[in-house]
Amino acid sequence: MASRFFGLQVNKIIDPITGEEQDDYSEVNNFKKNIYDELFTLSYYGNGGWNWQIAFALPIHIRKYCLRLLKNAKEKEIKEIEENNKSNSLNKVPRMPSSVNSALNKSAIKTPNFNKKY
Amino acid sequence: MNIEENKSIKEQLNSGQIPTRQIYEDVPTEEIELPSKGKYYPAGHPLSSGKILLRYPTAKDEDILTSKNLIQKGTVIDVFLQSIIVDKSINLNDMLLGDKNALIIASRIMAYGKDYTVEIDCPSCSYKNSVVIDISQFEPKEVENIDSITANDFEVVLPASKATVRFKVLTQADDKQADAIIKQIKKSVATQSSPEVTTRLRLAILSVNGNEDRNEIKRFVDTMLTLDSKALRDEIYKFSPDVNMKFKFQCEECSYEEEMTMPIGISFFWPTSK
Repeated sequence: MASRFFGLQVNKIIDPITGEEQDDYSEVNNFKKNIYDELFTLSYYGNGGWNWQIAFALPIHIRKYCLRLLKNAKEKEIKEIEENNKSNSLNKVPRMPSSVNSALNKSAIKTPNFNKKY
Repeated sequence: MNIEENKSIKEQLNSGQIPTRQIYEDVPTEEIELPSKGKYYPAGHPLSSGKILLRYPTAKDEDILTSKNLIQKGTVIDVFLQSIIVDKSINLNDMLLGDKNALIIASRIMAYGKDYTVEIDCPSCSYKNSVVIDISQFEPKEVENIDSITANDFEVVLPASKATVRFKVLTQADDKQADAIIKQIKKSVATQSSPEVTTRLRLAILSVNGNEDRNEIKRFVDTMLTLDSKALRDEIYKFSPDVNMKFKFQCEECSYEEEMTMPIGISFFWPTSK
């Protein structure tokens, strides 16, 4: 006879108080939470490209693919912002004009001697 | 929300004005070939083409897979499959168990891909192996002369009693009926033995020496010799279309090798749960 698939069954846990065996739905709940997290990520960070209903109706593999693209795009965005901030902060450091620098190096400008008594 | 507003939304849904309804209908589909090639179904039956169209599962279907109510009832897979079958005139109860197995494998690939990670204890050293099985490699079991089969009706002459037995391959409805009968027997009779085999044989047999009386068939099965029972079961297995779910297991620890049947656990339909 054909093999029989016995259906999806959750794990069993023993209740610490009563000692009775009962169904453990924690894994199912985690799985469900992950799905809704994905839907939220797509609709919230998707820059208006997705809403909850569209994300909900997407085939699973397409949803996962879009999430991967979204993650890559966001990572790229963060990297660009960080690089931008870095280069901006370098530009903002106050510097001496180059002429003053070279004059200082050649000792063309003498610094005042404050120890001298008049 | 008042009753009038509720009614209006219901009407809009029914008339297809709400776009989400349209979205569900536009989801891509895949044509799946049944291991039975449709030969076991009567002409005109929606499964007689040997192919079935499945819609790619969405979050809506994942909601079904995580429904506590359906898990408790044991109908979660049936409701899930019924939801992704495009042709709503197809009744899962009419389907052969082997064809249903093919749908389960196909829907898993369509939902979460071909790689199924499962933990297997090595039969030799008991080391817990994490094995990734490529479920897309599974092929339909070969049924001899399947192209010449015209109906789910076969005949065999049993070796010991020489009785001519007509039998069929069990469908999902028969399987459910068998489960119900077994449950009832176990409840009413305090028996150590399991009535699994005899109950399924009773349902598979259509007639014995031309006699279709169910009571006669029951009596025949209850008094059947082991030699006949084995021959009949072999014959039923020979004609049962199915998916060959065997894979080669090799232990990472002791290199022990064995051809195993794929175990189906929680991670089959909840792949990220572990």
